[in-house]
Amino acid sequence: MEITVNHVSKTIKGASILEDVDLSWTGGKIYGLQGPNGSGKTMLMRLIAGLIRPTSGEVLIDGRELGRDMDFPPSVGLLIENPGFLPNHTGFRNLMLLAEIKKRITDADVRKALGDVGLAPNDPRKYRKYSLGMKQRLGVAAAIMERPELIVLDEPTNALDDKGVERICALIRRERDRGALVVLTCHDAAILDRLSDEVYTVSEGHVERRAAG
Amino acid sequence: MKSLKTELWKATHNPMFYAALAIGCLIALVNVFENKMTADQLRPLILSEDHVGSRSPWGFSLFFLWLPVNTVSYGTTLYCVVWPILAAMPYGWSYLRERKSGLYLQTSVRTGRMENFVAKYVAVFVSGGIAVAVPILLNLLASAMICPYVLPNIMRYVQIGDGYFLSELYFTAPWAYALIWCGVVFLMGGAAAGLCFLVGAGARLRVMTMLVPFAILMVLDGIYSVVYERGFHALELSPLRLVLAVPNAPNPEWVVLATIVLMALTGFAGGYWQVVRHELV
Repeated sequence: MEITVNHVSKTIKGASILEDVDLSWTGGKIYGLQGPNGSGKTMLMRLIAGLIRPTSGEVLIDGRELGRDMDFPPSVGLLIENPGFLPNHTGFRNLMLLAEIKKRITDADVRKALGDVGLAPNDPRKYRKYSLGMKQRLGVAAAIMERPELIVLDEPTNALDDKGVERICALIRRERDRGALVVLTCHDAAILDRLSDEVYTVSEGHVERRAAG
Repeated sequence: MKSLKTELWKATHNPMFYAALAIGCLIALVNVFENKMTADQLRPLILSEDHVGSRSPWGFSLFFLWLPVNTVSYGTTLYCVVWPILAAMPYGWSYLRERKSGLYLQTSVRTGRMENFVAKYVAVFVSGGIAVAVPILLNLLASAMICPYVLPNIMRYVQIGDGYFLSELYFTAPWAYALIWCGVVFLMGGAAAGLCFLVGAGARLRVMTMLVPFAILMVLDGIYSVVYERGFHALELSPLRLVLAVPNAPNPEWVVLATIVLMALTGFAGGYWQVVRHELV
């Protein structure tokens, strides 16, 4: 997969969020976005995922323009801000409801994804009873379970303990090695540096690449 | 359509759906109790009636006591007011909640904006229709255990007359009429539930979304009542009252069907604008 961002700007209610952003990303790499709150990291992720459209410029996925040639990237897994699920269903049932839409994976794949993030597939608890960390793990599982070509993860290690962070980092590397293009943000600069192949600094709407640590 | 099955499952497997059904059935039960009392009072007359064929000579029949036709029933009055809320309860609020929780993003990226919206609209329509129509159907069946299901007597019962929805069928094949009316109520409920989409994700609480169809239909009812009283038209145009087979004024087939289509189109167009055209910020 190749993502090309050409002269993209985004303005919301008169406020410039992103200005003339140019990027060219390819599969099999982890791209980290770093920057202060409100700098435009999440907005850039939303643009790449097709959730919003640029005010000017274009986002191309394998040469096809998002918003014109397609609504969303053809194969994308998302975790943006809060993971959202049905409160009265178990984690497994929630993932199955999503998996049944595309029918690309079986319930065994869903169970494996749950295990990969450290959740018990047969846990009888409803989602509303989950701790913050468990909700976050379920969100990561939803993003990766269908083995998408593009994975967009906004703060995937939020609310996780050290062991959980290591598990999620290993998972993200595994997805990268599989060939997925991973875009992620993380408030912990050390984790972001350690995990990313390329780190980009987002500041006041401008995006610049810096060398990974 | 990939997500339709999932949306339909969610729409019919949630506590609000069950609550709407339960409330609707309780209201329908009020009418059944009223019918029971009427039947008990009139039992000697019913038993002594000299039936001419299957027609009740003086007019006592299931088909003028069941809920959509019985205009003097408390159950009918209550139902006529709350049905838009019942229609919106099962799933009308789902777009708002799923947008706020982030779940809508997950389903949208898997299906595409338009397909996801259509699936959600159909699920809202079907669940709203079921919540409104099932109590009416159960009321018919429960009342049938109490009241004689003989043909209504046109000489005695004149609330449904010329110009009313399928009036000829009502007096000749009332069971068919009753089942068709259940279908009409299903469509009315579904179309009213779709009006929830007009709010989009702008409301703060789901209860606000659930009250939108009710508020719209109440306002329309007020406007149409004023217009009707001033004699500008002689038909029942208020969608709120059109859920009854015997509204204040004649309800010809084209008025009923046009109302359903207009409500459905309004909900769908409003939803399309809110859901498909807007960004998933």
